[in-house]
Amino acid sequence: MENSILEAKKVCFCYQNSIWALQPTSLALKPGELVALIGPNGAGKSTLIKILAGVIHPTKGEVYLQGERISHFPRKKFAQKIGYLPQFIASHPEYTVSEVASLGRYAHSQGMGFLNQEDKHIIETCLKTCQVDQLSKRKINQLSGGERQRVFLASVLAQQPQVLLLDEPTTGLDFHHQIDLIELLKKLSQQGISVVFVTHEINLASIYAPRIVLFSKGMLLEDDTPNNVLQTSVLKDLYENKVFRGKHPQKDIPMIFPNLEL
Amino acid sequence: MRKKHLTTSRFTSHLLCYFSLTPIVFLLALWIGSEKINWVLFWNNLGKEEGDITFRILFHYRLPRIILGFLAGGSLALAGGVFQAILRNDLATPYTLGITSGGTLGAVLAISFPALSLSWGIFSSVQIFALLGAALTTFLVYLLAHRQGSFSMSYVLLVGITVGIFCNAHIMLVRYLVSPNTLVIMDRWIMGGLSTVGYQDIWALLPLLLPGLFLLFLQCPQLNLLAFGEEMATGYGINVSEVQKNCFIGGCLVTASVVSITGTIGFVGLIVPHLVRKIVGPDNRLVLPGAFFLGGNFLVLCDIFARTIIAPTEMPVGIITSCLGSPIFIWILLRSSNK
Repeated sequence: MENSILEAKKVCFCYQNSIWALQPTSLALKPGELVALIGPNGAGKSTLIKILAGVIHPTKGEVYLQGERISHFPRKKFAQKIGYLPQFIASHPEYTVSEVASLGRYAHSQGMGFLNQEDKHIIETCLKTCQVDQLSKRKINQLSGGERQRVFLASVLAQQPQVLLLDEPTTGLDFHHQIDLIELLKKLSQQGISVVFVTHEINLASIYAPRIVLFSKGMLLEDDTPNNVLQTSVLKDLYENKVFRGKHPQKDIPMIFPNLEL
Repeated sequence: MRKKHLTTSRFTSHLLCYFSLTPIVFLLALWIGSEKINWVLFWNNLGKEEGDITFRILFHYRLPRIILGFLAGGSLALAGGVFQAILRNDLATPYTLGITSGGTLGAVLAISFPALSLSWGIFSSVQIFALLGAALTTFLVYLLAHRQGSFSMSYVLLVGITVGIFCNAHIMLVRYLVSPNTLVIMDRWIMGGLSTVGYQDIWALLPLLLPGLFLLFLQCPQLNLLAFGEEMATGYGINVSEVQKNCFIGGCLVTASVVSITGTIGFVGLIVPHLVRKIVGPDNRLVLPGAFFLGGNFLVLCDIFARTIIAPTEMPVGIITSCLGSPIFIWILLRSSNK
């Protein structure tokens, strides 16, 4: 696709000793786009996002960043353009919020990675953007799940990426923190950062993401607007007839509810 | 409260602080020994025969031993700190990963079988076999623990401990087979000691030790990024498998070179990095140089005890490090759990 910043072309992936495989998948991302990847467990969403982030390498196909194969990018240079927040982040109780955020500057650092005034300013801005600047001296294990997630997002933003890839960033957060986080992603996309996030919160994806990509059993089924992707026939197949499509009471946005007439 | 970010000036001040301890410990270790030194007499008689004896005690016996102790303690503590960082586990050390046992088995084989006991200039077959033993165990642990392109943390220590037990069983087998005289030599060697005369052992140590130390120090900035897992570190921009490989190679070189000269010295690699982390925080750019200097000084101080506690006989320093290290480590653990 023309003008795409990040593009996967017919990428496939097989895990060792597993019959599951990601079928040939193509996805192109434009600058400033907000894209939600949805689908049942084991559909291939996280696998695709890991391929896009260069964490795993596709068994077939290739990913291109601004027209160049990502396998040609040195890891550090790649991290200056692509920020990745994994689903599971190991815990390290000794780090403070500010120290975690400063790790994001590694991609722009040289030698021992000491911070200069510009680095410090960027870190403070990212902490403010994610509304965790007041917590900068707290240790990471003293924070709630929502605060922790925002701190790691601040750390990824400190990389100053052009593309943000987030694997289930709302998992474990209470409802208002989920809204806060996705509104923040929306704001970032409006500032020109392309954002792709994996989620199981279909309704939030429908409300905030102009583009939804639906996966099932390792295949990309749909890639369109929420209105076109969230079709009753498709959803019933995926979620075993247990869902019902309705509308948001305030706006003409498709919403998914449990089907109570079973 | 820790200061927020690591800057060049903060890093330099920490290094100066670490370094400033070293001359004090060196002077203390030169001063204290089973033979009392009369410094006034030494200074007045410098160049004469009486002065020469003191000179020989200080610079031919004590100083090489201090330098050897400093390099050995520092290197073991550094290797321990690096393994704890890449495996994100406070129990990971060259000892618990079986690398020390592998090196010891190689060295024990070279000591025990006359056909294997050879020397080339300052290098002996003990060094070569220690390196082979350590390299084989490192390779084995790395290979077994490296599953699907990433380390399985719960697995790696189990593999290391199992490989260590396997090597220790073979060390016991060798001990069972050798003559009583060789057994005494071997046992004294296994207990860990810094008995050295002149600088030959230090020169023999350096060809493996220096590249190992260099490789490990180079990994300091990248190791911080591994604190939150391999995927996060990849996202931050490091090549995780390359860092892990470099750490294992560096750790293997450092451990093998130290073990081949000093035998098994336990606990330094476990407690020193842990202690430094408690003082300066988790940043490996401060922890690892700190572990090197503190580990070196710690072993030199332990060696003062080893040389003097049952003078004129010496005690293997490995016994002292374990006797001092265990209560200190438990104290640290209790103190941190009470916080």
